[in-house]
Amino acid sequence: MKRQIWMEYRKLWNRISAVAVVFMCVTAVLHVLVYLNLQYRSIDKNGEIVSGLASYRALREASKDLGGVMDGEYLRKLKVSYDNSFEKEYLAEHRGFLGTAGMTKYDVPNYCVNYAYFGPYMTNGNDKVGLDYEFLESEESFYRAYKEAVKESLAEEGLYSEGQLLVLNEKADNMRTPFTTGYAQGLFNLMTWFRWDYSLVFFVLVFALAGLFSKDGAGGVTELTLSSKYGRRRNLNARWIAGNLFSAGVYLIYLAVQILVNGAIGTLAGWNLSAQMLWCDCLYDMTLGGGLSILFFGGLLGVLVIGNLVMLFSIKLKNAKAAAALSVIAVLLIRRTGSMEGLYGTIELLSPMHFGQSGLIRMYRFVGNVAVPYFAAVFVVATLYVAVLYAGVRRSYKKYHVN
Amino acid sequence: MRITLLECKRMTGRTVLLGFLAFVLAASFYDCHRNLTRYSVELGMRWKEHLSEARKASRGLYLDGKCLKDLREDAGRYGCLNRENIMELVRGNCEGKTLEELSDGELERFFRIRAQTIREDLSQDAGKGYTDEEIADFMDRAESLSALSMGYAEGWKALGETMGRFVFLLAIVIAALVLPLFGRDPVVRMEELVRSVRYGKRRLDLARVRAAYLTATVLYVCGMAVYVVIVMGPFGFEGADQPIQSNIRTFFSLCDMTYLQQFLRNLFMGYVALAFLVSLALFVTILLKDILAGGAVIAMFMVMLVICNQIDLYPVSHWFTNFMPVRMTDFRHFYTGNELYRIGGRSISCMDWSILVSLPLSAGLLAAGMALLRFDRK
Repeated sequence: MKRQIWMEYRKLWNRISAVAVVFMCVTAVLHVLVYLNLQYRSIDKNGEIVSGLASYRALREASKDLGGVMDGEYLRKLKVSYDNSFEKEYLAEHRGFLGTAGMTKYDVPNYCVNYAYFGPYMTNGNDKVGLDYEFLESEESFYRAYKEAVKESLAEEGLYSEGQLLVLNEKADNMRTPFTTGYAQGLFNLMTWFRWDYSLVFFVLVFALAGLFSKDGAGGVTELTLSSKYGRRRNLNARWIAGNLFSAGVYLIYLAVQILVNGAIGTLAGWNLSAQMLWCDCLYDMTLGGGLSILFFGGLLGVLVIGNLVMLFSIKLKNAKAAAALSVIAVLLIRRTGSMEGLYGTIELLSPMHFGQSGLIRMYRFVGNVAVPYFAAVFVVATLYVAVLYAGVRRSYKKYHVN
Repeated sequence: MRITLLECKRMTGRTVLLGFLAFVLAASFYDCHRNLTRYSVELGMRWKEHLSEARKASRGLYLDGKCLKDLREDAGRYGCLNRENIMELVRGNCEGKTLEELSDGELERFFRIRAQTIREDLSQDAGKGYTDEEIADFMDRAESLSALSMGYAEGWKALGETMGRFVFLLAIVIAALVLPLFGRDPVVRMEELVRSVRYGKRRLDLARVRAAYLTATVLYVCGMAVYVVIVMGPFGFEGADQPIQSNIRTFFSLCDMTYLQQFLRNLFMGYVALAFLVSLALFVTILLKDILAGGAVIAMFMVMLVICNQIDLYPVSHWFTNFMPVRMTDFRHFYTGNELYRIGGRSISCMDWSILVSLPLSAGLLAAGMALLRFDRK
C-alpha cells in the first residue's frame, strides 16, 4: 500500500503542479518583499527614520531594552522612558505616522496598555499610543483595567448570550498576568502575509488535483488500472491519501516560504511573548508562537478540505478541465467568504478561508455552558468536511466505469 | 480565413457556447437583482412608482441653490427618488449634514463647497506630488461646475454600479476559452497529426491567433450587449446625456462627461483588459503547451493582482497594477482618483496612460508568443 501511495504521490508532482507551485512561491515572495519594502518605516535607536526592509532590523535593535515582563516596575519605567523619548515628540509632530505603516519600539507595549483603556474601540494610530493613564500606577490596577476591557470586547462582539458571557468573564478574571512583551514585528508580518496569500494554495490544488481521477481517453491506462488486482478500492485509497499528502506538502511549502521570507526580513523573534501582544482579547495562557502554531494548523485543515473538494469534483466529472473549471468557481466563492463575518460566528466556523485566521485564538463556541475553544470546533468541522467528501469520492469510485 | 473560422468553431462548441450564455445570463440577472434590491431598500415597496414619478419630475431639473431651497421648503416637490438623490449628494458634499441643517449661505455655496473639498483632497494626496499647474487645472475644472443637471438616469447609474466586476469576470471566462488553442489536452493526441499537414505550421499558428482575438471580440460584444439590456432594462435607457456628477459615486469627479461617454470609455477599457488577458493566455499556453498548466499560471496571476488591488499601495498601483486587468476594470478610480503620469513634461491622465501602456504590453506578449512558435518550428 505504501508503495502504491508513493507512486500516486509521485504522479501528482508533474509539470502542472510544478508550474503552479513555483508561481505560488514567486507570488508570495514578491508580495512580501515589495510591500514591506515600500510601505514601512521605523525610528531606530538613534532617533533616525529608517525606511524599507532595513526598518525591521533597526526596530529590533531599538526594541532590545523594552523586552520583558510587564509588571509594576516595568510599567513605571515604560512610562518614564516614553515620556522622555524622541518617539513621543516625533509622534506629536507627525500625526499620521503610526496610521501609515510607521513603527516605533513603543508600539507593542503601548498598544497593550492602551487596549486597557480603549477596549473594543482600540485601533492603531498616534492617538492610541500615549501612556497618561491613572491605572498605570500599579500592576494590579493595570491588569484590572485590562481584564475589564477584555470583558467589554467580548460583550461587544455580539456572539455570546448573557450566560455565556458570565463563563467568559470568569476566564477573563483568571487570565494569567503579567504579560511578556518585546519585539515581534517579524511574526506580526508573518501572520498578516500568511493570511493575505493563503488562497494561493487553494489554486495550486485546483489545478494539480483536478486530474487525479480523470479518465485518460483512449490510452487504455484507465481500463488497465481498473482491471488490475489493486486497481479499485485500494487504488482509490492510495490516490486519496496521495492527494491529501500532496495538499499538505504544498501547504508546507507555502508556509516555509512565508516563514523564510518574513524571518529573513523581520526575524522570528518574539515567539515567547504573550499571545495578548497580538490578540488583545485572547483569554488563553499561551505564547505568540503557540497561537501562530494553532493558526498554521488551522490553515492545514482548510487546505485539506479544499483538496478533498477538488478530488470529489475530479471523480464526479472524470475530466480534468471540467473539474478544474468547477473547482475554480468553488474556490472563488469560498475566497469571497474570507472577508465575511457574522451570523453569530457561523461563517468563521464553516468557511475554510477562516480556518487560518485570528478567530481561532479569540473566539469560543458553546455546548451548553461549556466554552469550547474555536480551534477545537474548527478541527471537528474540518474532520466532518473531509469525512463527507471522502464518502462522496468512495461512492463515486465504486461506480467508476470505463464507459 | 477558413482555418480561422474552423479554429473559432473549435473554441466555441455548443457546450461551451451554452455555458458562456448561462454565465452571462446568471451574472446579468444577479447584478440586476442586486440593483433592484438596493432600490427597494432605499425607496420602499413603492419603488416602481417612485421611478416612474422621477422620470416626469426630473425633466429640466437642475441642482443649484434655488433647487436646494425649494426642496427644503417642500420635500415632495421633485418626487421621492429625486429627493433621495439630491439628499445623498448633499450629505456627501457637506460632511454628512442634511438639507435642513444647512444655512441659506451654504446652499448658495453648494458647488463652492464641492470645489473646496476637492482642493483639500488634492492637497492631502501628498504622495501623488501634484504641481501647481496641475492643481490649478484641476481647480479650474472643479470650479466650472455651478449647476448640475439632475435628469433621470437611474439605468446608467445601475449599470455603472456593477459593470466593472462583470467585465472582469467576462474577460477571465473568455481568456479561459482561448487556452485550448495552443494548450494541448493530454487526452486528445492529435497535435502531431495537425502539425504535419500542409497548412499545419505558420498558417495554422496565424489562424489560431486571429481566431483568439476574433472570438474574444465577438463574445465580449455579445456578452456586454446582453448584460446592458438586462441590467438597464428595469430602469430604462434614458439619461445618456446627463453628467456623471449627478451620481454620488462620481460627484467629485473632474471629468466632464456624460453617462454614455463614461459607458463607452469603460467598454473600451474592458476591451483593452480583455486583449491583455487573451495575449497572456496565448503566450502562456504557447510556452507551457498545456491547458491546465496555462490555466494555473493565469489563475495565480489574477489572484496576485486581486490581492494587490485589495492592499492598494500607491507605488504598486501607479507603476504596475494600473496597467493590469483587475485595476483596469475597477473603473471608478479613473474618474475620482485624479491620478496623473508625467511623461515628457506632460501630465497624462491615468486612464489614457493605462491604455497606452497596456496595449503595447499585450502586443509584446503576442510578439513573444509568435517568436516562441517560430523557434519551435525550426
